[in-house]
Amino acid sequence: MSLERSWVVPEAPPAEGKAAPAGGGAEAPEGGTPHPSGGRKTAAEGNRAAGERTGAAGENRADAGRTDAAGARRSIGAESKAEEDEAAAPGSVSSGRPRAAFALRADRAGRFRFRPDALGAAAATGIAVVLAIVWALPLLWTAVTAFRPLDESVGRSLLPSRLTVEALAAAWSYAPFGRYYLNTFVIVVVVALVQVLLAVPAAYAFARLRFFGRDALFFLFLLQMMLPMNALVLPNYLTMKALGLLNTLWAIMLPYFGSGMAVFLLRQAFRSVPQAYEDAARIDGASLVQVLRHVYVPLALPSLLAFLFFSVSYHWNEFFWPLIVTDDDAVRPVTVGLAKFTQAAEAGANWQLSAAGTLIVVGPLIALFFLFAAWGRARRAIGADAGLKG
Amino acid sequence: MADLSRPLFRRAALPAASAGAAFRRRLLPYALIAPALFFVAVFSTYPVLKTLLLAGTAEGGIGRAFGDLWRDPVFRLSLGATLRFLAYSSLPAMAIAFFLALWIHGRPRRFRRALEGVWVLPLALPVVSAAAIWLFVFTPQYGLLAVLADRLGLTDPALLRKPETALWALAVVEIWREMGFNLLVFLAGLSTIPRDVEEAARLDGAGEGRLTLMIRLPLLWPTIIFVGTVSLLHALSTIDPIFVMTQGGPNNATNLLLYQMYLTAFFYGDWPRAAATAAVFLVLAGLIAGVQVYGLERLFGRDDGVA
Repeated sequence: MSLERSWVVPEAPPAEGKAAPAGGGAEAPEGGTPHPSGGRKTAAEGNRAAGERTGAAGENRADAGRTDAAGARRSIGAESKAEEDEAAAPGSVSSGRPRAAFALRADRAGRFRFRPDALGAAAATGIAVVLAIVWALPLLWTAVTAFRPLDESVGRSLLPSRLTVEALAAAWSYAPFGRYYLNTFVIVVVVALVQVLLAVPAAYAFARLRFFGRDALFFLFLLQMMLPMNALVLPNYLTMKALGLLNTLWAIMLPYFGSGMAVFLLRQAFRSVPQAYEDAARIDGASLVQVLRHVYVPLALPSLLAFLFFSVSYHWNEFFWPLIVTDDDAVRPVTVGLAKFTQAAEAGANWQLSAAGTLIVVGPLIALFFLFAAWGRARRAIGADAGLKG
Repeated sequence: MADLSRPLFRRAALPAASAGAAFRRRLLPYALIAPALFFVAVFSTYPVLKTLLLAGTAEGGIGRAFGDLWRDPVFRLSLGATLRFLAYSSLPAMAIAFFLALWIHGRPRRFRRALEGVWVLPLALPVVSAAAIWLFVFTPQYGLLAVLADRLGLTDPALLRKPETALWALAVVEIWREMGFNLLVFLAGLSTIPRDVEEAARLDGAGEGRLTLMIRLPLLWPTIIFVGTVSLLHALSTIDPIFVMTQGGPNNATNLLLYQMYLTAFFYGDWPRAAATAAVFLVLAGLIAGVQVYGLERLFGRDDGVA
């Protein structure tokens, strides 16, 4: 929990949940369900906002479907009907629950408050906490095992007698993790670059040009996007064998150079670029390459970044295909290297080594994950300070 | 008044400088597509056909290949394990994600972000490392479960040694890694439900349970189908944890279709049968993808559940 707390940026606005009804003690820490008027505002503001909102909502519902009619009737006369609502609520919901905990009621200012079943909320929170522990525990256990002294049996005690990096150092020296990382890095960067370079012109053609066979050709790209590559390893292995590329980085990368997803995403983005922008650039004498480079690609940047994120994480994590086409530490990516390393370490029942190898692989990724999370939070906080939408 | 929404001029209206230029212009789209298309055709389109051709190289042709495959008891075990694995992994992953999404939804934002991290983090890790991490939990005698059981005076559960629990252990890895994705999509879906709809239901006296059942669930159907098909496809393609945790055992209990295909081709050298297995896999994947694309469009008139 201290870990979670540490990435909360202090500038963040005060917890909205604190404004929730101070009813049962059990629901206070989780903040409860937000009540309709929104807890962020001061009481006076909240009242006014609530009044305005119910009024507006009532107008909206007047022309909506039949189910909303009752809601409209009630919310228009909210204040006067409050008592009636309170009386009706326990009957219309399931019976047998404590009325005070479940009733919908308006306070004196006509502000509605929903009181969730305190017991149910506590149970839900309990389950969520258990799930959080289940999700965190395997990682913590791996870390603990990795920092355990090599000569201490894992099965003997839950916590190691002392923490040491000797397993990590041993793992790093036994397997060429540096080489694995370099291979993965090369694969990820080259694949992403080539995918984008090839996809931009294709996406432009599919977005803006008319030609014979366009839909049929586009279907092939969609098919490439939908087909799980894992199912096509047999023919692709034979192709690589025929090309004499087995056991090279090319074998790992080539099948991914043509990316249906890149073409699909960029085509969608290019279609939303106004044709007039391209025409303007053309009148100024821009070539097609310049139009793509200076008009389309910058405007499609969000899609491009989303694709790059997808591509990098996919190829960083990929295992099956590289396993099949590599046979040598010199070309193995991190994932395959880790699998081979843990297999060897487990054969010798050396769990500290195996855990250390795993930590070497996941450690940087976890650090990156938290870095991105903190960065996003900081950016939002800065944005909120600057009066932008946080 | 001139219509300003239309382009001021169209390239098609310009006279071609020469017949050669016109020809080049007609070729331009194909030239733009060719490089990407080359790789797509060689490594995606051709392999689909090649899979069928490979299966057809079996003695007695392609029909015989599939017939033999169907009569192979190991293949049947593998197919059954795969189907059970789909249910074991994707249903709990969806149920947990839906519950957590409801629990997180509507909580203060800074609270939310911190919490989501716990469940989303595994998405950032390679599946192989997720399997290795869970191996430290499940492994008999040395795993966390064994150590805990020992402490509590229970017998070692040794989940990986029993056929049915081994499949569950494999599913746990899948659930642990993929659940965060479902959670994010469900949260996105929940945030698109108009507030006044929920408010109206509350005004009518609906509690949280009824609100979820009668308002959120029906409105989230497209999202649920999207999440369901994506997790089914992911579960179907699962192979990485098998290498790390079980190697298909015990007694073929975790020998999922892809692993069976891998073993058939690279260990037993029976490429036609492996290709037939791959074809069955492709059909299953196609069915799920079909539900995703056409089901969503037919039922809801939109092509994804997130928007």
